[in-house]
Amino acid sequence: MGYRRVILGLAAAALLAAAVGYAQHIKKGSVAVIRSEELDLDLNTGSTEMTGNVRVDIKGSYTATMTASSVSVAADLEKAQVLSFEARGPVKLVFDTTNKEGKPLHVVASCSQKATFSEQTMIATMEGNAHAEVTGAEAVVSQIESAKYDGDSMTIDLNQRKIKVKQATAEVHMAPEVAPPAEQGTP
Amino acid sequence: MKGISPLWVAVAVVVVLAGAAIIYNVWGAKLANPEPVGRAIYGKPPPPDPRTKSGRLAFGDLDVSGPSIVQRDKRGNEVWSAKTEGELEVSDQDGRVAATGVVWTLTRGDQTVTLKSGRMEAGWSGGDVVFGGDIDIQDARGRRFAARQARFEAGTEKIICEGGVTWEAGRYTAAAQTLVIDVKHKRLRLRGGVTLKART
Repeated sequence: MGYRRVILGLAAAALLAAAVGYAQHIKKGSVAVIRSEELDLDLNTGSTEMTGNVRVDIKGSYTATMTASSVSVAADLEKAQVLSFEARGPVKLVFDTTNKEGKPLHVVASCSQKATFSEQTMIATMEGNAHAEVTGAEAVVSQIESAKYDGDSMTIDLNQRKIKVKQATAEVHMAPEVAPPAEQGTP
Repeated sequence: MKGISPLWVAVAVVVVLAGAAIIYNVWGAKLANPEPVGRAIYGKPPPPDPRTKSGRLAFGDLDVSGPSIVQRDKRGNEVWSAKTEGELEVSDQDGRVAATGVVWTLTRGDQTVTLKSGRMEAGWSGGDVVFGGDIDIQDARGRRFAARQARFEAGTEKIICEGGVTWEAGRYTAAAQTLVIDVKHKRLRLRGGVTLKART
């Protein structure tokens, strides 16, 4: 039981590190291309609604792609800053980057209902069949090769560095040198 | 029957002359043909409007003065204005004004939208304004839009741009088939193959 907790903790650390890295990358210089059928911008509030096969491609020192049925964005138009967004499902996020040594990190996350992110609280959520998979995780946590989470919902607090998964199932693959058996469980 | 007093005859003559002078001054001026203004090309002059003043012509709800056109509402408030660097043509057959090389301006509260276009057409009695040629729109916040054609819907206060729409605003650029600028509600709507590019 204790060993499984350690493994799940390492897997959570890998996912969290990937999420933190993603958030930090967003703040750095990058180019985002958003495609949709419609875009509705309210100049009073700065809120933007994108509907119809929304696809977000971000390129910088990493690549990220998000697809969703519709996306709502709250932004400060004067500062050109995204304050929060809500993507309605099904939502899929693919994130690729490399660490300083050039080791690749690949994250796939998806949910069926909605995904949200708030700049103010630095909390990201995924609701409805939330799924997150990190491969090449040794780029951020040396013992972990890959980690996979499934649950009803997932909350990632980037400030507190906490992940909360409801009704979670986790699958962790350790790096060969550690070589413990793969485990499954529901903490 | 007594003879008419010369005094009464004199009074009657004075009254008739005064009446004639008033009629001449009031109606004579209104019936005079208006002078062409600027480079305008006119067809048959439309019926005179009681709001006509010296140096300005009124066609329905449009005031034309030199190269400028102003559309006013029933209370006389400005709805929009335009200046032409090309030709201005007023036709009484279809009740429309056409101009080329136009800078068209719409102001609502703190919002000012300036639209440059190759040509413009508007009705005397308000309604839609149609723009053709290359359209270049700029708002008070520095946002710029371009399109192949546009029209202003006076009833809804919307500017609808179509064909090769592009939008530039600071670190953002966007492209779409259609753009609707809702001036009254301060909203922008892009439709059809929308691509928004942002630099963070």
